[in-house]
Amino acid sequence: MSLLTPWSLLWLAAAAAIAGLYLLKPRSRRVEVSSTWLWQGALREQSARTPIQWLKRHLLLLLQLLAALAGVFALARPAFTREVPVGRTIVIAVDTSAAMLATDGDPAILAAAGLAPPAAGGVTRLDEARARVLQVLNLLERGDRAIILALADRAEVVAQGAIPGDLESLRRVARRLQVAPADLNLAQGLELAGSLTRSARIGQIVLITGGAAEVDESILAHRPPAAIETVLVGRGDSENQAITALEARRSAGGDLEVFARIRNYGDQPASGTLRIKVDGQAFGEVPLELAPRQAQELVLAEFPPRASLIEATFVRRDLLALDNVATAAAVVPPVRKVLVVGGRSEQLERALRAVPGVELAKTDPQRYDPRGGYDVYVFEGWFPPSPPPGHWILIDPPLKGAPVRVTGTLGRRTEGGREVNDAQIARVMPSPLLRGVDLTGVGVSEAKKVALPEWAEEVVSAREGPLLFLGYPRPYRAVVFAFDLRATNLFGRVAFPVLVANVINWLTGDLPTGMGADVAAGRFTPGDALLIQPLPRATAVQIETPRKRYRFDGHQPVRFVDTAFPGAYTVTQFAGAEEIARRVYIASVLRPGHEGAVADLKPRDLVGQLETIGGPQPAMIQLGPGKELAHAEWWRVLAVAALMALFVEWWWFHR
Amino acid sequence: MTQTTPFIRRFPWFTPPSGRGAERHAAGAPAPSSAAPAPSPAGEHGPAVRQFFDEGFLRRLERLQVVSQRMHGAASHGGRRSKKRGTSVEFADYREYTHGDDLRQIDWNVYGRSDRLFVKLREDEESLTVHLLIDCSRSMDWGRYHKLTYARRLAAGLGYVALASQDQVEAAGFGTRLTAYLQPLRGKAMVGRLFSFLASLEPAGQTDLKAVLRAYASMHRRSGLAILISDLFNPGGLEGLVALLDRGFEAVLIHLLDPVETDPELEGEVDLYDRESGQTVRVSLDSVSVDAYKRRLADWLQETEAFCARRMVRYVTTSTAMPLEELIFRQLRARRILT
Repeated sequence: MSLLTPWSLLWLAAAAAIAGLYLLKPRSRRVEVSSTWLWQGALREQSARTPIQWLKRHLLLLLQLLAALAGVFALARPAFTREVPVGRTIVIAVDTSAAMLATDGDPAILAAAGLAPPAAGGVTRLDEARARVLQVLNLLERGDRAIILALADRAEVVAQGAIPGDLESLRRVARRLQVAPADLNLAQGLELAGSLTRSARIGQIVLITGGAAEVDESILAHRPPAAIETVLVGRGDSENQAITALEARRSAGGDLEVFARIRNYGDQPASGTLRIKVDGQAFGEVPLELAPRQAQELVLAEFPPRASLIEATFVRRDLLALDNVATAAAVVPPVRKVLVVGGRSEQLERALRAVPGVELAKTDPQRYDPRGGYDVYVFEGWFPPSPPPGHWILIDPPLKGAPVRVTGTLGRRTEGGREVNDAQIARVMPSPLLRGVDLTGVGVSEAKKVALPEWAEEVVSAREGPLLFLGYPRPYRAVVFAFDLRATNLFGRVAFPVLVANVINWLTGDLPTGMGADVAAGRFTPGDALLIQPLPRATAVQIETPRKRYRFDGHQPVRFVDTAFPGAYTVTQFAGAEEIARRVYIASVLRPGHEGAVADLKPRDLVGQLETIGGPQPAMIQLGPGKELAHAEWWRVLAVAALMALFVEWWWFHR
Repeated sequence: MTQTTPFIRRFPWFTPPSGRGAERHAAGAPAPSSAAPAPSPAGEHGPAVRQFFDEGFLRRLERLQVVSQRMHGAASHGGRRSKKRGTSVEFADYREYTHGDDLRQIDWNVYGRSDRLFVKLREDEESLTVHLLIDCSRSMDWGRYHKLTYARRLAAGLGYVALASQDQVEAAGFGTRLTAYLQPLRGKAMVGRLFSFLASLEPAGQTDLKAVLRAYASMHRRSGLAILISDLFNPGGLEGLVALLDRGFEAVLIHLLDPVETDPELEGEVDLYDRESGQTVRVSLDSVSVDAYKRRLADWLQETEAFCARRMVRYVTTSTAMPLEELIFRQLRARRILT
């Protein structure tokens, strides 16, 4: 037994005070009787019969002391330490990354869990993981709480519930776990699992994974404080080969070249055949001999002139078929019609013509036709009374009639006897317009002082106003240069054509999507949304996925989310019946530069080191005890005893 | 008061004092506004008599007579027939009427002839000497109704009955020793002296019944009816009655207790001050100890009653809460002490 607040025993001084007051209190009163003879006889007789007369005489004191002692010890909160059952929170974090499709699962585990082996193909790691989840659920006890997490590139709670009420639904979810076409972000998964156990009295994480993930030492340093038991599924084989790169590009002469890299992640040499299809038709085969844990790179050429979609398949039976297929598209830049109104410089026209896919036209403000027909309008020193029916670029805004408010000019001036130039670049913000643009040494001698509109965000600014900004004056996009290009030294620099190309591409390009997207390269991660920004001329957009074809009328942006399947997604824009743009996006499970996160099936040593409980035998899943030491306080008993003593004392006094 | 204790069941006269009881207790006492009818039984000793009783009460007393269970040697003639003279009731002589004589004994024929009052004396009548022994110890100077006052009035009533019956009356007050003594009186004319004597009794000393009764017995050659009125708070004091009995006295013991003594309402830490001895006893009282006291009291009363029964002593216990009228006219008559 222990006292939780032993300092409360200082109140024992109150007991001493009670005794002292009792001793000091004049207890007896003088009563006159005719004779004490009978009294003495009676009391002598009574004393002879009851030897506890002294106790009775001092019963009030004893009761008060008893009440005081019981009260003081109740305040001291006496408690026994004992084990009490506590409901555990078990987070079952299941790896559902693409690598879990590796077919080295253990059928015996499935049989032990009562699961039937799959009808076709081998037992995958995910099959074994499902069985492991069922085993963990069977180990749970009444009062426990289970949370099933699906871990891939992001972590997701797929089920949670209490035992036994939700056990069946948890089992159903466990049997239906599906693989996500992505690699495993284990750090994020553990962080979520840790946060789910943080508020639990007893929390434990059971990590069921194949161990294929990109991890470093930091995952050990930042692992959650809860106990972790790692259950590795699969035999741990690494017998897998993958096409880790497949890129198609056209040479300066217009010929298509395809670059391919095939890596053997196994510890044994592997031989196979690389089959190539062009636009769905078989094109050729290349036999390959791959050394253990080595890669072989190929450059394939002599494709048909109009070939656009290249599909490569490495034919060999290995553990993971997913990474044996890759697709590449020959990027054909869309035709973008650009109209320059009031062009002042030859350099701007040359830079616009240099942008791939740009068809340039030129006119002056007097002959400007507001009916449209162009994707991008470029205005220099002039702006039409109503905004054009397409994206626009405004260079050197006029003082009147511009969609931006010009409040003055910036440039060289004399302040306090010193000559300053307040049109010089003072701030440069990160922006897609400045990708590959080096503004070092760029000078602006004069610029318009423009108030930044609400729809705009600045890209380059002087001290007192923006010099270059972009924005979305709906329904189109716009880029504004607040200066005359001739008032700068941009024309003589490499940065200028790059900047112009970035501006055109941003105005006519698609919006970035998910984390793994590389829209410029036409690649994205399956599951990410594709935001298609049609050209202003477009009247319809068609999206052809590996399984289905969609069509959207109008030229409003399209947010396309049916991207779960890896493969080619072809986006075609039409102006009436005319195809005006075609773009192929490749949804690939293998992230460029991180292919091994999925294709290298060998469990990482660091994943195994996450384990903090459990025995050496991975076949036996162990959960921590559902009990914890707790103080069983019994101050209530003492408080009741104190009250009872006070009640008896009151009754004895008043009886 | 707990009505269900064995003690109470055995001694039902222990009635709780109340307002009504107090009124009953006052019955017989002279009413302040009462106008005594003439001729007054109190006679010229009216003030002393009215200190104890009113006229009506005295008239009622005159109808009573002290009962003696045996005849004693007559010191003089009295209003009581002597068994020694046979059973005939014959006229013996006249004597002149004196104040206090029984008017029934006046020979009205002689009065008609001589215009003087003469009382007829019977040949076989002899007087009884009634000894009124009143405990005047300090324990009697106590009580809710003051036991000594009650004893004085009881003795006055009994003495008046005796004097009215032509019995001879002696009285004594005692504590540790005899503190006051009244020579034998006879006739109603002596009522004033008797009552004055009783009124003059003062509490003093502790009770020493044994010594006092022995001394009283040795003082008298002739026996009589000794009526002892006491609270008996004197362990072993009853042995003194034996000395009286040995002398041929017939004894009546009236045990007088106050309601506070029979039903004490005490609890807690108490310093009991003994009124009689002056000693103090510190006790811790609760219901258990009070019950023990009551048991002890009941045992004591039983022992006293048994003692008296063995020695043919008529024993009456009474409470000062009982009205004197009730005691005299009902209880004492029921116990054949008065008739």
